[in-house]
Amino acid sequence: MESISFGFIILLNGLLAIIETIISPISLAVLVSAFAFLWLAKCEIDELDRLGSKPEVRRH
Amino acid sequence: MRRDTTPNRKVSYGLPALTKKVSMLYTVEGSRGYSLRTSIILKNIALFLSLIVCCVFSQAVLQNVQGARNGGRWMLVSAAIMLVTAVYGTMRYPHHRAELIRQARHFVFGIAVVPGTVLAIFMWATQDNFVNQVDDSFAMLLINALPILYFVTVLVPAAIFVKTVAGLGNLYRTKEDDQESVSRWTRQDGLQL
Repeated sequence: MESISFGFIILLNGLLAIIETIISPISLAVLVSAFAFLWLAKCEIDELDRLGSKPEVRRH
Repeated sequence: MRRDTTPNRKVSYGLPALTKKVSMLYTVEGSRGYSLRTSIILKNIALFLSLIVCCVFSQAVLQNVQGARNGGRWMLVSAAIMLVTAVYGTMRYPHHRAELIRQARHFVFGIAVVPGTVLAIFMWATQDNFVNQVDDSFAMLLINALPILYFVTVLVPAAIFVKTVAGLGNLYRTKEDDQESVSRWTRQDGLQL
């Protein structure tokens, strides 16, 4: 039982260390920038798709 | 009886939708469609890596420069603010997406990051020339002015870009009525030669 609780504490400490590292402003800025570049890439691809496809009209 | 106006296709989500989209893409555009989209993703990955490299490099060269020790960090935060603003802008103003993306890249790389990195290199290269130059007024001026110039170069574009995107909805508004607008567009306003 003790070894299980020690293992659990180690895992929890690791998780907390990861969260502390990520929550620092610089890591947050890196993550946000990466997300923003991905989003802008998606927007560009959407624009390409829009230019390359005919508009879909509902059947009438 | 009410007519059925639903589109003649099944709406699918997730992996089936993606598979269908990719197969349609190949049908319409061929392999060039894949390469175009791959090049966009790779371009954005390259831009992200360039941003990180410039920030790390600026941080490294400004370590011993008085007044600008955390210049690389400021650069990263400034770029992140501009990129988040661009993301917000693409959601808020979907009609201006293409222009917003171009402007965001221009602000981040053309105005803030690359000139900031060049300035950081200049500050690093010339820092030794300013040591013990207390009797040289121009050297003293540069010692005090260069960190301020660096922060103005790196941080002010973020504020300007936020103001630009925040005011984008007002740029295309006009107080003219329809008749005035049509008169002006058709050059029947009495001002033509």
